[in-house]
Amino acid sequence: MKRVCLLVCLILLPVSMLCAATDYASLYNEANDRYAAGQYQEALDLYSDLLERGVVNPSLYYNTANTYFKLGQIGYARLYYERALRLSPFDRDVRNNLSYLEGSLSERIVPLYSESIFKNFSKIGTYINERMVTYIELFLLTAFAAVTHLFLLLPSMRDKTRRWMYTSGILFFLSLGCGVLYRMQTKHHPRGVVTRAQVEVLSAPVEESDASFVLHEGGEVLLKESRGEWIRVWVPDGREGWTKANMFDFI
Amino acid sequence: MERRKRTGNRILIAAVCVLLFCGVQTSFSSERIVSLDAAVDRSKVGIDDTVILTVTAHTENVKALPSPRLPDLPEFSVVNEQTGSSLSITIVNGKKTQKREQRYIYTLKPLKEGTFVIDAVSIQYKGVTYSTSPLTVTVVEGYSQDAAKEYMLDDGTPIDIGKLRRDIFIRVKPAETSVVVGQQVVLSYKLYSRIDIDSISLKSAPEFAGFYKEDIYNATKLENRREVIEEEVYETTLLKKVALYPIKPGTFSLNPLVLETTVIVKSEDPFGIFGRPFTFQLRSNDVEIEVKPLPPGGPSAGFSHIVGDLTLEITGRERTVAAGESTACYVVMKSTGNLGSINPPQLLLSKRGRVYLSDTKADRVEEKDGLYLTRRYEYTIIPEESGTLKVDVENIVFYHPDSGQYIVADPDPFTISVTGKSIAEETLITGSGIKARRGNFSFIKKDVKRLTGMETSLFGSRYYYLYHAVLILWTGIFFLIKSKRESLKQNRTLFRQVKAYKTAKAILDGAKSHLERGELQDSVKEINLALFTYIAHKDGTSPQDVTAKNILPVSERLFQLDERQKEDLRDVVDSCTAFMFSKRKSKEGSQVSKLLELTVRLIDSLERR
Repeated sequence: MKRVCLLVCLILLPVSMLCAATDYASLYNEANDRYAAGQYQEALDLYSDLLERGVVNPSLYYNTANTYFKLGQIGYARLYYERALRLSPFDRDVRNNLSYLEGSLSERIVPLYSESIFKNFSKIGTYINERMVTYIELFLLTAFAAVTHLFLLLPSMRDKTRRWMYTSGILFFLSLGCGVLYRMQTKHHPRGVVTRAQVEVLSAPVEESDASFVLHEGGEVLLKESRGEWIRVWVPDGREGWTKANMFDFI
Repeated sequence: MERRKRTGNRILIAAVCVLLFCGVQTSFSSERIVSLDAAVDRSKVGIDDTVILTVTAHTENVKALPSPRLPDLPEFSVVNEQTGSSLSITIVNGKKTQKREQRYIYTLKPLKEGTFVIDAVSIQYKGVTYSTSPLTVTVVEGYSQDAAKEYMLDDGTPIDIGKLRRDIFIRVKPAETSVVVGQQVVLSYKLYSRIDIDSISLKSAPEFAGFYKEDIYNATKLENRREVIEEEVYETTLLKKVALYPIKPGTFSLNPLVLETTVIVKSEDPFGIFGRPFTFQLRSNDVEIEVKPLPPGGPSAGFSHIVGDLTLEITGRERTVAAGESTACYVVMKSTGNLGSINPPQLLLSKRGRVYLSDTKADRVEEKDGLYLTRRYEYTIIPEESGTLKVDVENIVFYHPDSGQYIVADPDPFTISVTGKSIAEETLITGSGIKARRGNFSFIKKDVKRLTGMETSLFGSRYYYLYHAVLILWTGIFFLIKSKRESLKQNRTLFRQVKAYKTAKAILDGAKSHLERGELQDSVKEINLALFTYIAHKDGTSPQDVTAKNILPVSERLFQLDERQKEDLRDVVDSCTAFMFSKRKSKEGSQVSKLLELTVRLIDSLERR
């Protein structure tokens, strides 16, 4: 009897998942229709409904960002473009719109290191996401294992395979270390976007401290440290200061 | 020993009982104020002196006494308050009485001359008000007769206080006594002395209410500079120097600087020639400063509130910089006015760029005409537009008291040549063409039949860990098994190499036995096997791998054979082959014996190599 129940569950589980996906799709398509009709607020409500249900999808993020942009909320627009870019870093549509949006911000933040070499590194960095880091690491692990097998199975070719085994092993452990560092960095120091019109950044984590500078909507920051409701943020042009955590949304 | 211990315990218990009994008795004792008295240390004082008012309360069993309430004292100011108490406990017939004498000591400074009555001092305790009798104090100019008693040595020798005041005094002289709001006033407190000073300590420092203060100098030790005043030579010490900036108009009397001074007083009697120490309070002269408001006609907005001289200069770190790169500009302000209260000036750029205030340094320079405060503001500038960038500051208006005019500080702007492409003209990071630059917000991702979620990362999922575990474990196990097998094989080969000689010898012994029994065919086979086994084991292979064809090259590779050994080897192999495969069955034992000897000799010679 138990086996029969288990079998029924196993059959019904994919069906229910398929139904949920279809339900999400109908909501998404309806939101797209509203968007096409110029009913941006209604479209946003539907997209937000999907987001609240936990749907993580680059197309959904992209359309949500477009809707926010149309509604003039460029902070949230940037936030969702960045989230879409994190999922699909090679999406040209996302990149184009994000570039345009960055150019239309009220405050243009010039990076601290604006030389071409740093720009190129930064550009490459935008193509790297956690999924890619994991894939690279898994590929190198597989390569390392395969070469190790060849080394063991072909004693006559050990001179050649030994070199490849060491190289792939070193590369695998390097990628493992880099992956851990990357994940720690993104977990503990996530990037954030200013979603308020203006955020006053203070010199110390107390209300009475002096204001160091003001950030404007759509500006990008990096979380450096958090203390209760206060966070220390770093702006790419080198400025640092304290502000309340609820002033930002993190990517 | 045991008995002594028991006796000690009994005494201890008895003592505790007595103490408990006393404690119970104490709780029934009455609480009251027995008397309240007030007294002054002298009835006649000089206006420059102080009078000590002591209020004494005698109480019984009072644990906490409220502070006395002083009457209104318009002719005096209370400059100090102290308390002190003494306690005595008496036990009579088991009744414990706690008597306390509580003293409240007030130091009063007379404000004007005349005879004044200090009204009753009162204490209210448990609903009952206790009061003292009124006291009368006469305040006279200078020092009273009573007060003069204070100026005596320990042995009662009077001191000529007038002479002492001429021998040692503090003089304070402001550079200006009439200034406008914000104008600098420098005060120098200088000690003049022509008698020996034993020790000196600060009793009270002057307060400068109504002024912004900038300390210039505070003495830490006495100096011995000489100065002549009215044909008298004094040793002088600059005690304190301070720059004041009036905040509001009015007439301000500054508090004196008071020092507790011990001097060595010499007298003419035989015992006083070496001098005796005498301690008294030395105070500076009174100073009054008149502060006038700023004259009308000033700017309605943008006045910096700097009064005095002001120089303003703009400099930079470099003259040429690329667009988007940071450089630094410095604004240096130097003024006799108060720079401590102004905000950093705002920089004005002739072209687009970003400005941050990155550092501020404050300093001061003392020159002949007063104290100059300096401020050095460092600004980080990131030019965004190529061309010639002029860096200027906002207008700073200050008042110059000597000329009586409001002046606008207008320094020369600092010029920077900005090279490279302007930031605004840069191409976007991705995409090209108008479409890419403009963004396409009308385009949205198309409708879908199914909207599936997407894991942001495989990392952390069970598949990630499973894949790692399976692959690493399998590879590890495979590596271990393979290594073990190879190791075993290598060990076996080594074992064979070591045992090759013994094995060959054992086989040759078998051949000898066969020979002795007349089994010639078997004997030759054994000889052949012994040679091939020896060579094969030395080579790390099995005897089947060594044949009559390859035995010579293998042996040459292994042993570096000489000609004789080669010949012997060929002889043994050929003879064995001939004996084993010859159709002629009749073999002579002597020939086999020779073959055996040759083989033994050959193996021995090879082993020695």
